[in-house]
Amino acid sequence: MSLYDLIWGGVGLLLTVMVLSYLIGDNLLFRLAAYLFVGVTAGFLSVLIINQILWPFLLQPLINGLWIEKIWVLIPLTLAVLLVISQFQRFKGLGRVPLAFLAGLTAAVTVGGAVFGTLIPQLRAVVNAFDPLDWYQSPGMPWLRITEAVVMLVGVLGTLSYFHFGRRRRDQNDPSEVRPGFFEGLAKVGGVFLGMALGTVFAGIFSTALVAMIDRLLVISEFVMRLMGGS
Amino acid sequence: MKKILPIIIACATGLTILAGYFFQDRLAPILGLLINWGIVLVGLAGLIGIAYLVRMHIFRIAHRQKGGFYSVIVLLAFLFTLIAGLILTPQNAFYRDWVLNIQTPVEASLLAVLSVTLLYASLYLVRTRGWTPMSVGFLVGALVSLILNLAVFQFQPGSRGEVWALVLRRLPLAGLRGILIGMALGGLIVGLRVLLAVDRPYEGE
Amino acid sequence: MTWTQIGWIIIGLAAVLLAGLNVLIRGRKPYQVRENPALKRLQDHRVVAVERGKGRQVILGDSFWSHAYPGLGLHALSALPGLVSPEDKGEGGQVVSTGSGALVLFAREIVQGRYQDGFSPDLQDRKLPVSLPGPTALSFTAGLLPELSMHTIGSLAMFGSFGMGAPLWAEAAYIKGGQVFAAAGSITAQAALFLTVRDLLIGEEVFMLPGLLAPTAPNQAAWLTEDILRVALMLLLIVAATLKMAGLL
Repeated sequence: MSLYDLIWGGVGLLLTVMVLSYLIGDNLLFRLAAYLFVGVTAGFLSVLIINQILWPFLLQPLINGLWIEKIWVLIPLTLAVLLVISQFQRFKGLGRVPLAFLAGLTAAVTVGGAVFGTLIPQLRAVVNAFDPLDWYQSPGMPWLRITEAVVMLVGVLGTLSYFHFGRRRRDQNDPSEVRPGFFEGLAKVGGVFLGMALGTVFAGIFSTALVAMIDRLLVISEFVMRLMGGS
Repeated sequence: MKKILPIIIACATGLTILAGYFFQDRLAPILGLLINWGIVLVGLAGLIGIAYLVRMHIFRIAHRQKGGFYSVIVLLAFLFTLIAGLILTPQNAFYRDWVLNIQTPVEASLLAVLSVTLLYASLYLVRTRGWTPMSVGFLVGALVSLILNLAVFQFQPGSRGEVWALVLRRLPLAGLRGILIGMALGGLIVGLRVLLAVDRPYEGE
Repeated sequence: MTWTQIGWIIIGLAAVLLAGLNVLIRGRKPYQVRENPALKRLQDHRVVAVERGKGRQVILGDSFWSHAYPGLGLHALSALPGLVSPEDKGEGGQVVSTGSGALVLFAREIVQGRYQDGFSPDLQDRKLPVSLPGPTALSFTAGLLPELSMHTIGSLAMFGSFGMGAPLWAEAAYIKGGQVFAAAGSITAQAALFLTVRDLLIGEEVFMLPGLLAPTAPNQAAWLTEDILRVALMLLLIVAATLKMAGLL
């Protein structure tokens, strides 16, 4: 092991132990590691933003671009300057223009992404499971596909009912948490499906975190072994 | 005018982007241009956000507030990483080692800490949530998923066991799809509220 | 009819409903939604926190926009005004934290706007309690945990787009005796917080939050629009599945 590798290995080991010390409570070692990490990440992200966003999208066209590119780049440049200036209390109001642009853009991308990126593909997947051609594609198991399609539909309808905001109309002052009749029934089924979905995702998160724990323990043991001359 | 201009900009930008989705062939170049401008602004906002972080730590040191010592660490690490990155570029081997050998162990160790937190919390599932259909579903979903992922049971291809394993694996999909559809619906409304100027976060409303 | 056309119809219908109901609902009987005990507890704890001079922490998530959950960043901003008031400058104070630069800028606008509503003289920019503990998801967690430990926490409210680091924030707040409320948007956050946070809104429920915090006419119109659209989607699913089975779709 070269000295260079030894140093970095030692740094990794030290940081691992410092962060894992959080398990016995917040302490000086954890804070040191955490704040070092925050500083490095902030510095690295700044470099990436400058190198990969501001330089190619804003500064390069302004310096090396054709005149038409220079004209076009004046708009984001103006918005960028307004955003920076608005950080000074006196010019606070100027930030509203670039922020309005950002909000409008994000809102439209949100609408498009929500409908065409999530809603429609999910609806399609539920409906396509009812295609009779698909059911009989794999011989011997059409019942399974039919059951799966029906269970999927009931599960989705139940989950959507669970989210129903409105409550049963009774007395104005009734602090009811109950949905209107039809939705309440379906929501009970939906609650089970929701629980199962979250449980499955939880298992995935737990596995990922556990793998990270095992990885850290392996790194520590390997480093110590190598330091002691073992393989 | 001071109030109306941001609203016009937000609505015009949003509607142009939406029109770009609709008339993709004709408006694709404008769509790309607007998105590039957005990327520039988000990047710049990221830098300003980091400036807030730096300012907070400078403030803490200057006013000798609690945790001032840690703020020195943040600022030193930040300045070194920033200056080294600008001089050496992110492709430089030493620079990569500097960033990765700090980020990787800390990130992995934070996940390791999370695993213990989750394990501990899972012991108290019923105390936190009680016996509800959802908590029972959660328990069943988590256990089944963990058992199936551990591959304790090996099934013959085409056997009943394999069919049941498949069914159990796909059962949670219904809930996941329901959640995603619901989230998309909420996202649609939130986006439209900004486009219709009902929500105006750029004006503090 | 193609699925893309159905998508545009949904967008059009949502826009018309939202705009129409926004006008129609004003001055009428409010739309009755389910009560939320979790939010009630948050509000109670926030009051207690002010009385005892403890801090209140609001987390707006660690990203402004994500592919999987595009609306969560904007949602955090629409909920924020309901948790900011000029009284926040009082004992203990309130800090709004986020891991995204864009959210910092928007949050600053909102916080300043709300403080000005109260004619607070204490409006110097450098004192505005909007912070960015770390600029990425995990660095945000790393930066936030010591901050939570260093200060007294009366209540921690988190909403917006965040991931599986959230249980660590919740645990840190619990250790300090704080109450935790979460409106978890992403599925990973929902699953991770299900075990640790009792006062938790999951899935589409998180979009109830702005209206629960401030039941204004636009927020009520949003509730009603979402409920109508949800029922429409459920009917669409049943009809489309039937047509598919019959070979007509």
